[in-house]
Amino acid sequence: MKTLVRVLRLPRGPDGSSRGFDPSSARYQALCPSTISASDPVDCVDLKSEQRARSVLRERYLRSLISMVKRDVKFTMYEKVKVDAVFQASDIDILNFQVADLETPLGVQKEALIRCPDVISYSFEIDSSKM
Amino acid sequence: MAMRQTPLTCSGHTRPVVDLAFSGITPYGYFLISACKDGKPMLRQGDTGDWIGTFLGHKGAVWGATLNKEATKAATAAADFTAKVWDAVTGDEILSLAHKHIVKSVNFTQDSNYLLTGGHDKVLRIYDLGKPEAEPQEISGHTSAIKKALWCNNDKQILSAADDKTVCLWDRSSMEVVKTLPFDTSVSSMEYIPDGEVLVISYGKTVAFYNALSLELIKTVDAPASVYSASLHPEKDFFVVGGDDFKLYKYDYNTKEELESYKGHFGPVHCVRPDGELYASGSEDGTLRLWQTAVGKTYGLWKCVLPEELVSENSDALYSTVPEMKA
Repeated sequence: MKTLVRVLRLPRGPDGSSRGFDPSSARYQALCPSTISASDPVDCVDLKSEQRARSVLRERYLRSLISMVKRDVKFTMYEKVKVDAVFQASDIDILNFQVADLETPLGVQKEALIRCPDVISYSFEIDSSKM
Repeated sequence: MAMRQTPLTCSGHTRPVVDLAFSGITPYGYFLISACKDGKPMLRQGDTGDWIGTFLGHKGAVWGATLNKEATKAATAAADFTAKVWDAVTGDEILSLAHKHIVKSVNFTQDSNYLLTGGHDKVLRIYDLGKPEAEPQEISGHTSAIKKALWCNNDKQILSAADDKTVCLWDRSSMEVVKTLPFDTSVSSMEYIPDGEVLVISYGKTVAFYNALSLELIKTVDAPASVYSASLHPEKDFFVVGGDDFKLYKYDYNTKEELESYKGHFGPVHCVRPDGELYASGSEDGTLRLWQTAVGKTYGLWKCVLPEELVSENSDALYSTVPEMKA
């Protein structure tokens, strides 16, 4: 009778909510600046200013998401779909939006997930009193 | 003490896994990429099977996947008529190369500067990754869909296997065919081992080994069932075969003796890749499994347990699977 080889744990699977490639991994940290790009190599200064611009834009976008929480948002989606919902949260990769009271032709969906790749655009009103 | 193989199951794919490839050894270990009919190829850590990321972008089944030696780039071939090149560190899509039909196979040169593609439009294409806008070089000749295309002989030649039941050796500079190997039936898989210039081809229930430069036959081995994939261990002491009886077979390359066979998959085994301490298999059941080359050795997630330790087990992390039969 043979004994089964012991295993420390199972291989980790996808986490279901993101596409992975953890930016905090040692490999990412070490290789990221030098990973290949289809465009021409840029010199150090351009890269720094481009990264700064990207940081500013990203921070602005993330703040826009924060200000959208609990607000009515109008989504324009593919197949001529326009729906209203109350925005709750986004996932880390901006692949899904969690919404409440999604108004659909089938009725109001109390809780729903909207796939971001299905969205063409969305709009909401900023509370001008807070500006 | 005799040990029974415990395969590590890597879940995540939702449809059949049709191709697998390992990278070379990098300072961060080695990596494994899997091509799947769910259209979402995945990158995993080679020694543990841990998922690292999923390459998102293809809109159809992915038929072929490969990594460059350093595991910094990945390439995939898909049914959406594109081959894509990816940054294997960030997961970003870098290039999308449009084809006229389903793409089945992709392969980098050793310096990662060129990508070879082949598919249902029967044409081999060579893309200069430094000039992605430029038209690829095209090599025509096959009369049926190309299943596999590989660089060989230090990237000076190309090997291609097609549904026209031939394997052809092409010269890269002249773009002409150097030699053709005809078969009675369609070739199911083709693997090239640069060190030693060995070509492994499977067709029907046979696994055949050829000299990759001369295409002379070295030996053939017959398996108990139709073979979908066969691969030779880099040290050329054993080869692994997977086929439509859901089993994996391990054969001694020198004596042709069947050493081990394993059940475990719940569907035909589409691809096998050995890599030193382990070999990986991908199946119709949507899973990848990692198998130990030396059963019982401590490596990756496998732990060698000495007889004394077995008696005193209590709080050790213990994983036991449904017993798998040695056929």
